[in-house]
Amino acid sequence: MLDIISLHKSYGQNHVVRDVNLQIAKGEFFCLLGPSGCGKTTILRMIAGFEKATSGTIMLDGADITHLPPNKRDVNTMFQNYALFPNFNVAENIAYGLKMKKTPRQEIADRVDKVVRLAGLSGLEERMPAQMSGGQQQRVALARALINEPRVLLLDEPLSALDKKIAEQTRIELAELQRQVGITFIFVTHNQTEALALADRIAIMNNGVIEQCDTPRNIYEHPRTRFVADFIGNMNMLQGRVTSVAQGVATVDLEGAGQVILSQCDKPAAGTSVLFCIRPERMKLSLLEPKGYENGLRATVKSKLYVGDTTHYQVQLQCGAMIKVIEQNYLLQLSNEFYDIGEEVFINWSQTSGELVHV
Amino acid sequence: MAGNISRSNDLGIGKGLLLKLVTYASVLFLVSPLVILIVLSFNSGRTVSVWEGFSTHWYSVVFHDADLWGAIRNTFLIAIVSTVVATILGTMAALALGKYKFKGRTLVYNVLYIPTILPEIIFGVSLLALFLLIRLPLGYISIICAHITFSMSFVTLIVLAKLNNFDHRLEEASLDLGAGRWQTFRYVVLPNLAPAILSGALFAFTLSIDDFIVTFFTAGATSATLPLKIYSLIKFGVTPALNAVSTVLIVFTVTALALANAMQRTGGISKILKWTLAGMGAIVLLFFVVTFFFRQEKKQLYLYNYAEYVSAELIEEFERRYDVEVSVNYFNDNEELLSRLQMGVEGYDLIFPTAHMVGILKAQGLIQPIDTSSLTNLPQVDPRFRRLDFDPSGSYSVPYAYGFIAMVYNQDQIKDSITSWRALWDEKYRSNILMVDDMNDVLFTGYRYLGYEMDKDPRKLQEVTEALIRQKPLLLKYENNMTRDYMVAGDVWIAQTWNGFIQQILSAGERFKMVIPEEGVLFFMDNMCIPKNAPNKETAELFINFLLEPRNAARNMEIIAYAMPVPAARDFLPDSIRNSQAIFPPDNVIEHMTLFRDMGEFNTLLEEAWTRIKVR
Repeated sequence: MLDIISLHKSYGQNHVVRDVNLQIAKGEFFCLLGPSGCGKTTILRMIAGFEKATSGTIMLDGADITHLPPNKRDVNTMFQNYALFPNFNVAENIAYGLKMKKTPRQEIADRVDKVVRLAGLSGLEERMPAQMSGGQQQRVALARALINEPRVLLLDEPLSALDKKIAEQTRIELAELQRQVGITFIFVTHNQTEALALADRIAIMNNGVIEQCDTPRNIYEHPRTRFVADFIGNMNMLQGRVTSVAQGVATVDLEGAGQVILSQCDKPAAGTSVLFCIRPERMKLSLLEPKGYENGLRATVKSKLYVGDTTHYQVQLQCGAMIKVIEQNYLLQLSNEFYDIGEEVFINWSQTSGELVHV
Repeated sequence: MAGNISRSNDLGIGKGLLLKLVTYASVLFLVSPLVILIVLSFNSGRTVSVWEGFSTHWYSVVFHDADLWGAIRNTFLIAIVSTVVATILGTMAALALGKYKFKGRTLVYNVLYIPTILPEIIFGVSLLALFLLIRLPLGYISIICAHITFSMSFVTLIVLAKLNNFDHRLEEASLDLGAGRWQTFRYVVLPNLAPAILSGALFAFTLSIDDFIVTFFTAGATSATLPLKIYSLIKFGVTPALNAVSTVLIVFTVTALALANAMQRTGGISKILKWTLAGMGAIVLLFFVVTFFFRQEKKQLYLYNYAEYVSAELIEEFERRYDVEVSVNYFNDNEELLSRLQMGVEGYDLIFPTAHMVGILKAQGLIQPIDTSSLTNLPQVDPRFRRLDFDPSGSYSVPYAYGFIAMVYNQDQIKDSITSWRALWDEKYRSNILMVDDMNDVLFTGYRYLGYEMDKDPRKLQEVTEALIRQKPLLLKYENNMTRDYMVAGDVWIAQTWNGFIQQILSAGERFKMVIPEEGVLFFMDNMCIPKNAPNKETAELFINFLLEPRNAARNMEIIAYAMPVPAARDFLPDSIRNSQAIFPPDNVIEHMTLFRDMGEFNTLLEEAWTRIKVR
């Protein structure tokens, strides 16, 4: 469907996109995720045709579109600030693409009508953009792009200008809509929650390079680089070295903190330096020693933060490293296991949890 | 209660009474001259300051004044063409500057500011120099070019300001949705710039309509605009006709603005722009088509004269009789005439310089000999006015009209019999004396008061200056055009003024009496000359001959109220004029007449003296 091959973009000495290769399937909801300045928007703009690629190729359904002007690509964009035409009303904004393609008047009217209903804008056709809320404008922008039935729809931070509540609502609608229309969506965001919730696949970018491209679940559960591990969600990371690998079980010596065993992860060769990563919600505090299938480390509670559904503990290992542990308050209440600051505890977790990242 | 107090006085900063009062006062001050002008345009009298009853007379005067209509037509034609072109060019420049980086962009950008900060007069002079250099004839084209040059800058800067605030993602969105570059410009960029383009166009339009200075330098013989016309008419006092013209302009402008405003509020600014530009374009096109098809292959004659100094009826008759189209342009004084000719403005066929200026023009080669053999009426001219020392051969000029400066006083207020210029130095009349605001006439009076001839002796000049400085506290002021109003209102008892004005004052009542002072009076004599390169020399000679026809001269004199040296004409005049000593001074006065001469280098000293007197 959309193939990006060795795409490269630089402004003088400043390389903003470096050797990016992506294959996006028809009907896929694909997300480019990364911090601001990572190059994700530049890729989007190169697909749209607003930026020229320094080198590399962009293929759409087997045709090279790298050097086509934006109006010759069967690709539409939904802009971050929506970029609605202030001089046109809602219906005229939506009809713009069809009008430019000299579509017959009646067909325009029919299709506008259909899209207006699809986007939940019925009754607002005569409004001017300035008279609408952010959420409504967002729908108009979406409708304006979708009416052209592009092969790929590019969405640039589509939800970032909305209130949190509306953004969550819209997120659900967006996913639903994408399923209905079946158009390939490529969307750019710096908001990982959005990305995890919406995307079929996520490409995580940093410094112009794709760090990892995978399903949300794999991105979250099996980060492949230190950046991805750090960027997505909360992650405890400890330096270590693989001491042995036997029968599918890796033993890792954490520097000064003790040994941990991992039964489900990539198994690097013994002796390699690794980063041991584990999510705070995978661990629990306990006064009891770890059971046979568990890893356990001694620690002291340093701080405790009650945030409603969970409690966040900061505990310090004997080596000095700080670890974050998130416990479900519901479960803590059932077992009445609350810990106070200064208390000596064990951090225990299953040997099936945790991931090793090459350093 | 507490709520009320805090509401009107939220921040403890009072009600802004002072600010409001000052604002009201300023607006009042701004508007009141306009209101006065509009009210006075309905004044039935000739004066500007005294209300004499309601009348729409001056409007009909304006509507029937072909010259004024010509000027109005010129003004609008020039304004419309220059606005359309400046708006298009200015918008294009703004787009180039706003959207692209190119070599010299910063330079262009800075150069654009020049017309907005450069004194207009420098701009005008430099444009004139350029036009003369490239031999662009001064006329519509030169004025339009000049107006485009400065108004384009304003359009560019206004549009550029808007463009800098323009969200360029809108362009991307348009391209993204399949629009081409032109479609994007047409449907997205242009509508969003429309308010700025429209206000730029309005600005250009007003600048062009308003402009005096640049137009003054770049106008030719045939293309006087309304401001130029009004300025040249002011020489003869601000008549209510000017108020009427101004009122029409005010109504027009306010209506146009209100209309634009109303349309803007109902949306569709791009529609207004479209219609405005289309309307203007249509008018221009229509004008060109009409002028093309109805272009008369008539002979033309361009006069350059003081305003109202040739009978309009007579000109019409000349046009009919010889199938000629006559256009008249006005100058205010000889110096203006000289400077225009020196600048190289061509196109005038017949000019009306005063005696001493004929000598100067001749010496500078700016006028050419007249074919006197074709002037069958030349023998009608009183020989005492021919071949005077400024034109000994009599071949460069034909006398047109003459007058002199004398005194008039109100016998109700002054019981003494006055015979001498000394009356103007009389303590008894303190603050009730007027003198003309004219260097030569005032200095001449000073010389004669002291019993001197006007020669080039600096010591005499020194004495004269002192005498005039001594006299100044006795004067109400130096005044040229409003003397009649002052006299008629009784505000002034005695005035020095020109005989034409004296004739007007005398006709206002028996109480006024003219004095031709025993020390002698200073004459002026205006002449008809043909500039070098006059395009229609023969028609000009035809016109001279026409004016010298005694019957025509008589009709002309009735209008201009100055004497023409055509003795046979007096027989055709009504008694009131024929016997008026204010128009035809006694023969002994004529025989001893003194004409103002060009003083050459000594002029500098005269001017210094005049300045010294004026600044006291």
